[in-house]
Amino acid sequence: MPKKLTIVVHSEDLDKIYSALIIGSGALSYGLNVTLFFTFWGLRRLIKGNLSKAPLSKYNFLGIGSWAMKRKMRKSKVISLNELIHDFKELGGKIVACSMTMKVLGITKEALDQSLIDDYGSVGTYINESKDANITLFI
Amino acid sequence: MNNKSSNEPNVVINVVGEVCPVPLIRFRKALRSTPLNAIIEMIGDDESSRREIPMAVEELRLSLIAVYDENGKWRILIKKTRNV
Repeated sequence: MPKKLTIVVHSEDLDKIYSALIIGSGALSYGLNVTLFFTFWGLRRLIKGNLSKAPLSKYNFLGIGSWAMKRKMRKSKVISLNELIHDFKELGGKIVACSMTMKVLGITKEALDQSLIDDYGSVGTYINESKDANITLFI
Repeated sequence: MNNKSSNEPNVVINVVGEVCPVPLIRFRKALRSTPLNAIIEMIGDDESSRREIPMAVEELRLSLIAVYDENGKWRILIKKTRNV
């Protein structure tokens, strides 16, 4: 049985989404199975075209901070979030969208980028996936 | 497919100038697209990837042939000894 990593992606902040996807793709590179659970604010990043429109968790300054950070990251040759999530999927990473959050925030399946989503589920799905995981994180 | 007696690579992945996590991702992609027993050469200059690619090779139970350092760049040779 391959080792497994699960991450709850609760935050919608650019820096935290980066962390989740970098750790996730790193784990895939090490041969682990990886599932990311997008819930609450994090789920909003799966709305079509929304991924890289994320604010920064600190120094956002109404979006200027996020823009400056993305510019700085490009200069440092850091991969873009869109490329990163596609690499994550290409390497076999799974993404689960929280169906309870969809109800609470009024997000329909049609509004979400369904090409990224493998499954819809709630806490049971997370627990079921995580009960035999070697690493689980909440971001 | 690899009947060569030397450790000549079948595929060369150049990640010079790339930073975390791209060298690891490119390595993993190369593993998925090459046949069994292929020899993969990674060339890069990211310090942490020089340590982390061999760590991934060990975790994936593949064969690390050699690591070379030349002019601020590293070259890592890996043999895909099993399908991963």
